[in-house]
Amino acid sequence: MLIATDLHKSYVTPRGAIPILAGVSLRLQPKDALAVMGPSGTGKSTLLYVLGGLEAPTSGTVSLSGVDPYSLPEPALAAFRNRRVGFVFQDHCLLPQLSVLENVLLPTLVAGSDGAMTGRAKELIAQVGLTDRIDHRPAELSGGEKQRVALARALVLSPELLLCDEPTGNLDPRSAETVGGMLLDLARSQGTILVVVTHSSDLAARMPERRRLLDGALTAA
Amino acid sequence: MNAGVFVRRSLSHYWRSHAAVVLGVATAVAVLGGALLVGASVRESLRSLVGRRLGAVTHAVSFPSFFREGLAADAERGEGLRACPLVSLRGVVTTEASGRRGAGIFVYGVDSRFFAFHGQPDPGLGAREAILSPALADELLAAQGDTLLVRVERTEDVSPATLFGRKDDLGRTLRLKAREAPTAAWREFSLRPGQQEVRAVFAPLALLQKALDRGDQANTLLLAEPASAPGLAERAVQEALRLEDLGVRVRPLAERRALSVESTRALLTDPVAEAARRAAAALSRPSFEVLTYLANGIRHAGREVPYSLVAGLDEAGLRAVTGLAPADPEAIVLSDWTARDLGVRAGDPIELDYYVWREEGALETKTATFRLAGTVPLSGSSADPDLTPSYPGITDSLHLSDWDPPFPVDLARIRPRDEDYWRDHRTTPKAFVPLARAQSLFGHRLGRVSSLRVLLPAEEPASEASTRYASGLRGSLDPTAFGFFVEPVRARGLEAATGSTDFGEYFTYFSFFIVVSALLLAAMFFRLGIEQRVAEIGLLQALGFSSRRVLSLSLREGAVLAALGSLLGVPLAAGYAALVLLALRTVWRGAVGTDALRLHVAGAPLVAAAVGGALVALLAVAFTLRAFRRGSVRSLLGGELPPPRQRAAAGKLPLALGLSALAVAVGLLAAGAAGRVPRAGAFFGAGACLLAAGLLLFWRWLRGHARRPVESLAGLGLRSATQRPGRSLLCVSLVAGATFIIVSVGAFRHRDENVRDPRSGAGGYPLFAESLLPVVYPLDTPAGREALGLPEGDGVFARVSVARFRLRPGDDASCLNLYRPGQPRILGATVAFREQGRFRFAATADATATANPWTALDTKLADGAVPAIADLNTITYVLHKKVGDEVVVEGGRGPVRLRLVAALSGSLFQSELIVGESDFLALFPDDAGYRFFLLEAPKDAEPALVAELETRLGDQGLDVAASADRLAAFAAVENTYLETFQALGGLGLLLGTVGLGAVLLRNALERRREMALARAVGFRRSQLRIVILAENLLLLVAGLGTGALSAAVAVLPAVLERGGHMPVLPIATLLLAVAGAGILASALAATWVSRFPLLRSLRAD
Repeated sequence: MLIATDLHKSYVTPRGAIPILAGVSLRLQPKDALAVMGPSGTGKSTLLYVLGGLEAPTSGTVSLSGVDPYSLPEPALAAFRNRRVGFVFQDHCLLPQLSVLENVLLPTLVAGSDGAMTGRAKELIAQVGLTDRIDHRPAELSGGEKQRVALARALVLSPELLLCDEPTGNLDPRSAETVGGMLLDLARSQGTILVVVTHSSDLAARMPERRRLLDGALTAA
Repeated sequence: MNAGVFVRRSLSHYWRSHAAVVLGVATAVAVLGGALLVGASVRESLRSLVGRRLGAVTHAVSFPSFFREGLAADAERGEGLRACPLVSLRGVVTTEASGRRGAGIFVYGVDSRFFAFHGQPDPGLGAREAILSPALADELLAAQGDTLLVRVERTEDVSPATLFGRKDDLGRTLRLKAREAPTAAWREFSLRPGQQEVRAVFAPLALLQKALDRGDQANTLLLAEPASAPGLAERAVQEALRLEDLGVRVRPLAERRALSVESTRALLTDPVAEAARRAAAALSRPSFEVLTYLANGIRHAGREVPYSLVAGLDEAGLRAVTGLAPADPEAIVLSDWTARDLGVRAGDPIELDYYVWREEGALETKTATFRLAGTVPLSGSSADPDLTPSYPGITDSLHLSDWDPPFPVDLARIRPRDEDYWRDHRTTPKAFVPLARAQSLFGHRLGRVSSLRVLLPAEEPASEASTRYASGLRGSLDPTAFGFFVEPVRARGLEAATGSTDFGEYFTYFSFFIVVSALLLAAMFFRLGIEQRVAEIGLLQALGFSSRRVLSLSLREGAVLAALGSLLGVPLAAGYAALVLLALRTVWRGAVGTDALRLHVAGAPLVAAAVGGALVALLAVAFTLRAFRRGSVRSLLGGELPPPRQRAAAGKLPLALGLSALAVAVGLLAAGAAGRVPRAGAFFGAGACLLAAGLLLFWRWLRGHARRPVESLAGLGLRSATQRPGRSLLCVSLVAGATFIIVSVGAFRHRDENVRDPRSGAGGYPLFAESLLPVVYPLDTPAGREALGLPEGDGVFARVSVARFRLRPGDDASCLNLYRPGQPRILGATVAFREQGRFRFAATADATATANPWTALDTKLADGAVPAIADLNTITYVLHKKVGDEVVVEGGRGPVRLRLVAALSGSLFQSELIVGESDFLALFPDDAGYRFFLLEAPKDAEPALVAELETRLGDQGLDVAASADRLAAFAAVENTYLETFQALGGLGLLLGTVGLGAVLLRNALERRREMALARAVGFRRSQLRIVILAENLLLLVAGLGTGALSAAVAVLPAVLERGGHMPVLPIATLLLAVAGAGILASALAATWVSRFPLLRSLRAD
């Protein structure tokens, strides 16, 4: 279960603190899928990073299966992100020097790789329909294909929480449709909590739950 | 998938930026390894030279006198040791036809044994032929059949330092025919290590022996000791050595039932006399000592017996010879012949007139008074001509009037009865005095006993006793006390080949800026590469890689790059070393004086450079990665570089430090100008503080300028420099530091000085001279000039002042000698010279001697060390000592500790150590006369003086040269090192400047979106170029200006001391070249970036 309680986040500038999140709370169970929508600059990505242990909140707590990542020392926090959280970024963020399979296996460098992980990676690659591109480099893939690889990478260690920041934002409608579908299917099949930040009403419409982030707070969509 | 795969993929994908890193590391390793290889190559070249020139020789015996040729055969004894006798002398050779002259050469008397010893074919030297070493042949332009006049020193057994030693005609000239010979290793034979070319003449041994009246004798023994028998050479020679080889003989006097122990040098040294006494005591034989001398006259009441031998005997001797044992220390016993001639009786006063030879080159007549104690018959024990040693020219003459002594004899004083005496009694003493009195009057530093008489019992045959006694005496004598040493010349030569100058170390220093520039550029390019992948770092952290793990992956990449760079640098190191050695043989030959240096590739320097370079590169890489720990994951994911450290007080600290450094600089300048602290140190310290202040204030300016409004294109460029202040400061620091060193080093180039100034390096002596043969008479007194055959009157010599020095030849102790001097040249300075207080000193051990540091040589050191003075350059750079330290040298009778009590500054004396004359004579008793001279004459008289001296004293082998030339030769070495440093430093600076351009290019690439945006809003390409150029010019000018200004302050006193001269042109040229290269590099970078396609740049990721 993911529990966020009264999250506040401000950024300090020379001209004073800029509040981004102002008391965000939510509670999600495994297999839940939430779409967070809102205008640009409202802090949607910030919420994602806070939930994923990438940015500490100014106040408030986050708990994933009873673990507050921000109470952990840095190495344990990194391990938390590695094992329990999967990220899909708008910009796919694939490493150009690695093949599709290697990009998917990247998180296993931390967790420890063995033959089983390679098998799982291949399985995920198959599930996203890229078996025939398994040895290709990112430069040889389309935008949608890259995002599918990013999705497989995010799920390779079976995380409890999958966070996606505009996963279809840079894709054409058809690819976006494909990726969006895969996102939900895989998350559901893996029993992962899914939180998606998106501008896409189509993608948001697919999510069972939708919220809007406005003035730093989550409201019903 | 594992870390190794990840690293390999990254290396492969980003090979372009990695290539620059690898090249940077390779350059650093190549230069560092090359510098170390230069050192190893120089050492190995010098070692090879030693081996080539020694041939088969492992040990050698050089003796101040001569020994049996047969010693060689006796030493061999069939144990694998090989020995070869030869005569080895210093000489002067002249080609008769052309008059070309070569001084300071070696003359070797050799025969077939020499060539067999070296395993070389015997060229079959004719009886009057000579073969020259290749260098000497070239120097003299000698061709087959040319007549050569070879003049060598004729070493007399009786020292010229004594009354009875010859003082003139101390050389012999041989007329030989030059013979061409094929190239052979033995033609480069030399026992002393040195990189200068061998200048030697090989002449027939028999001819040289005959010319020197040395029969079957030699003065040098070459030994080849098998490696399996260490110590054999010394042992074998010691066992084969006989008394006669040491100049001691035991003569049986059968009729007198005695043995006479004598020396070929006419005097027994105190240790030998003592050993002889003990040897007699060991056989339970009584003995007595004898000192026989020549009295010019024995007088009483106006009557005189001229030219009479007087024997000093100890109590036992007096009793044995005269039957009397007078207790009166002033007693004299006359033969009855003498007593009758003088008409004296017991108790009458008797006067003895006698000569004393003063070693400063004058004969003195003295008179001693005695009291007649009695007379003895001229028969029996008191008629003993064997009490007198052999004095060539005196004792071997048939008539008194035939005497040819080395002192004046008035033949008019010789009466017929004196000739009759000589005919009948020869060298029988006419008078006997107590030994103690005789020693006080006639004793010499070389000995106070002319013989020891060992008395034998009647039943003992003298010949058998002689053999037994001689064996016992020989066993108790230490040959080293005679100056007979078995020297391990090969081992010492190889040790000397390690050199006093560590070229590896020097070229590492010289190449310092190249190495630093290359490593900094490598680190910079690595960082630029990482900055290009900042989003990747963010991603890895987002995926759960800890910052330590991310750092580890980057370090692994860096390690591979460092390793690749090192591997690439290793072969390049050999190339760099080869280039440097080529330069040392050509344009930088002034530093080494030889073209014999060759590349020797050794593993250790290359491994050291590869490992060292890789480690330093890795450290630099690790340092650059530290910054990425600061950035947030989000900003890294967004491609944002971590911001520089923002500390509230960061701006104030550099300002405070900079102003403090400025204040310290001003304070040092004031203190130096006021003389409160040494000027050179004050100004150099001020310059360094100015450099630091300049950099700190520049840093402060960078931080402060970051927020200033931009009002021009140039201002936009200046603002760009503030975006990465660390990078900008690094570039400026590198340029400023290199500029500071290069400019300040240039100020220390030696300039000519006024050699007539008594405080100059020449001490006010514009000329100096060195002679092959010892000159015993002073050059600047009428009596001395008369004795030397120099002209009198108001000629040039009337206006000359001469300082004379004793000289012990040895290894050149100056920077001109690449070998470590094992046995440095030593000069003995007279009291008269020391009292003048000339020359300039850099340091003294005794503060009380600062008025005239030469007086430190008069000090008697309690621990037995001998005070010595040397030039500071010699002390510091050759001997690696300081004032107060000791140097151990081989004296004439064993090792001696010389303590450095003062240091001269930039003097003529850089090739030798100087001791006081009395100490010199104690250290080297066999040396007589003077061989080194400093001459002061009016400038207009110099040419005439030189011509007169070289003509009239040409037979002495006298060579006169200008002191300025000698100083220039020393300065040339140092100036060459400075030029080398400047050249390589300039290369490093150039590399840094080109790298600066590359960094600028990288900066521009990073901001190409900005550039594209600027163009999109209307900036022209030319305007963008101005922006980039402005940034680079700022850094270049800041670096050059800070460095040059600081250096100018630092070297101001040195420049003023040199009369305001500074090699401005080469320094300015270098700096202009650097500035030009920097401007060109940045112009190219600016032009390239400004031509990027607009849209592609706007979309660049």
